[in-house]
Amino acid sequence: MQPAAIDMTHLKAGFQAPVLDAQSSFRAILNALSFPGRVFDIPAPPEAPEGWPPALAAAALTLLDADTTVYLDASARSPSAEAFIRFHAGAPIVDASGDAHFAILLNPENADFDTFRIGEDQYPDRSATLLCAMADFTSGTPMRLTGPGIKTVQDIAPAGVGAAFWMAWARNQALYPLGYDVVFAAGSAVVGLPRTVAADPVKE
Amino acid sequence: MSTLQPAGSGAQFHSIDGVYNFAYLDEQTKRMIRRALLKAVAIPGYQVPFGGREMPVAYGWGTGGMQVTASILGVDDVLKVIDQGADDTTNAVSIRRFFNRTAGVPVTEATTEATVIQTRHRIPEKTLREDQVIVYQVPMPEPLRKLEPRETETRKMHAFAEYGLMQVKLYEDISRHGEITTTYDYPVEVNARYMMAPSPIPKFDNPKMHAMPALQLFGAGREKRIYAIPPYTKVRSLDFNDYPFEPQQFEDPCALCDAKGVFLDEVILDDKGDHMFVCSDSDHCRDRRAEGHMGPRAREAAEKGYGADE
Repeated sequence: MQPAAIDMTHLKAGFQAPVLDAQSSFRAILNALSFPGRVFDIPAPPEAPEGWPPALAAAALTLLDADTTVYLDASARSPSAEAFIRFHAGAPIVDASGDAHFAILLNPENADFDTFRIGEDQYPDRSATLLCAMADFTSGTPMRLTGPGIKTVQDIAPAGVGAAFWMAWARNQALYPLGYDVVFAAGSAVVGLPRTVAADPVKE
Repeated sequence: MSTLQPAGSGAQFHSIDGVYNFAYLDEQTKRMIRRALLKAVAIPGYQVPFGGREMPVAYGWGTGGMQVTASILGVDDVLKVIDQGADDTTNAVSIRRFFNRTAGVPVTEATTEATVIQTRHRIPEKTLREDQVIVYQVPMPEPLRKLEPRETETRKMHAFAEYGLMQVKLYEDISRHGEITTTYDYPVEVNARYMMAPSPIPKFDNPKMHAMPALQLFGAGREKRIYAIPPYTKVRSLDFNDYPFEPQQFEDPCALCDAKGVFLDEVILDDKGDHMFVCSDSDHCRDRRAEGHMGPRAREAAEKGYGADE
């Protein structure tokens, strides 16, 4: 059961101009998934729930509504986060990652990626989209991306994810056309990682 | 606390013309289409079902493309709309005017100035850039539909990449006519996985879809399907080793701008059978004439003392 009332004491503000901000935020996410590994600025709302990068809050406001279930990992789930999602998006928050259309992960390194929805043979679009928060896109393990949307290769070093994530990603990528899709969020920028993209460690 | 507005309240309404929400569609619909678009990009060539809305034009006039355009369009965009390559036909003019009114975006006929290009059945001759998005209007998104009328079956064929039926169809073309007779909506294979209908563009345009720097989005309104080809994605027109894919070729250049290697339309000039072939892409043709290129008909007209456009 969802609590009937939203905890207004912890509520953070959403987009200043919901229609136009959601549009430019969506274009940033669309660009991010179209050009995997490239960094795109996203218009951040003035406030975000505790620990959320502004870009993550922007993506949540843009994509979530009453039609989408959302899973929050332990670090992402807070009274302000729950109030933020319920008030601004009206999205049902689910406890099981396997029930979620969207997942918000503040601690992606510890997530159990094999539990997320990968879609069905006949409906591969019925899969989860993971919104993963991190400090930056430059100080993590350097990875080399190839696949649709990338002309030759694209290097990226997202700070929040390590070997466990990239091993899970290799499994995910092998499922193609099934699999989940990932959007990394740091500060007020996003990077997309659709299921089509292969990631290999950069050999120096 | 004016920033604290719940979902569905007045804050989710932003009108340009004082009547409709920005870009016509309501925000809930845009979010639904946006989520479908993201999955379409993540699964190139796969048709994502979406809750297609009634648009204020009839099916067949680009309702699918318009819903995609409405969901991506922002105040910084410049919109170009073409119909069979031309900017000045009824469908193109109406859709441009529609978005100019509901979204207030500037519109253009110049391919190079546009950030969003909605198209009915052509890809512009000028190479598109990474900062451009091309939105196709699609009448029939399912390439296998004429071969297998049941959606339950075509869905399985896509799920298991069972595309033999189309190869047989192309083979039968060759055995009967000596060549593949499909000249438009020529089926392609995207990212080495899904078979996709490129919408009824001439097969001349198929090679442009391969590794295009611009994002390609497809919207089918009546059939309620959205699909996409991300930039730099492998797009292969189906063929056989001994009967390779061949786009149309034109022997003569454009009668007005002398362009070679472009797609030409036949224009009937009188009731005595006189005709000429001119660029289907009206913007490309105008640019070339402005640069001083002159086709045989334009030269003839100039010699007679008419302007090149008359």
